[in-house]
Amino acid sequence: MCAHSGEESLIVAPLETTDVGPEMFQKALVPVDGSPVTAGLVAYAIGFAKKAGCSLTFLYIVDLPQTAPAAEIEKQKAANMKIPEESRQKAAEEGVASSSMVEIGKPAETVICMADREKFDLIILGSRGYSRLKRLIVGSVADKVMEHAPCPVLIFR
Amino acid sequence: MVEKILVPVDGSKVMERNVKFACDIVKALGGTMTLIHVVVLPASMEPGVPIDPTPLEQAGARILEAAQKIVEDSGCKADGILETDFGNAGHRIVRVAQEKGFTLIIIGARGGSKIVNMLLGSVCHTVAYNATCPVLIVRP
Repeated sequence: MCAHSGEESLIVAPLETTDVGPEMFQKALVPVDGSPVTAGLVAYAIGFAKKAGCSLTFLYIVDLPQTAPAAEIEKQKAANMKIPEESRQKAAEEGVASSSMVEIGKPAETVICMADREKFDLIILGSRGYSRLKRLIVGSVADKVMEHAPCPVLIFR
Repeated sequence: MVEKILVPVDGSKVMERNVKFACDIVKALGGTMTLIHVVVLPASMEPGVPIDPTPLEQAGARILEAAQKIVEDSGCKADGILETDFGNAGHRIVRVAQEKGFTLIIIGARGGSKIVNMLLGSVCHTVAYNATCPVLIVRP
């Protein structure tokens, strides 16, 4: 007979543990959209990266179909580069390793695919804090990313 | 700014993993850690039938103890908060975080619910949408 206390039964099976050191986050993906929320998000991400010791990649997404003409895609990429680039400069000034990029595609899908493909271990997201009703109508990028992300998601408020 | 981190625990199978992960984050970020467990009382009991919350609260206290042991084994320390409420535990977690000035909530994406195809647990969902501080959703 086993004489274990009831406490044991709470944890059914010991799960295998992944040994993570203090640098548990290596690279974080920070989607930015140039909205008023961005400044706060970027400042928070920089503060977080300093403490956690991770690098930041600022990503701006142009919502264009993949079938758009190549010239148009290049034009949009060049035109919007300054949005993530400004954030990258702020991070660089604070001494945080960072990069910036512009991608074409549906915002939520692009963030999720990028995080998966480039093996990001954290996504730092801004949230506009829509009301329940508005969220029902417009849906949100944060919503989809939060649900489908392959890695932990940090929602900034 | 010193982080004041709140970690909700539910006694589910993935709790151990989530709590350990939270400990690693606390070690990396610095700051203090507080565990919270919300005992959810059945709201749909027949009118007039008194609910005796004692057994549920005792079970809740054991969940909190188990979580605190995981924290100690990971080489951290944490305070514990035990709350009792009706309905979704998420709302109480959000309220406690706001009232006590927590700066970060670390919560597992999924907890004890059996509906495996739900991508975010209901408590996580409530916390993610309603919290007034940043929320870190971790996945086992």
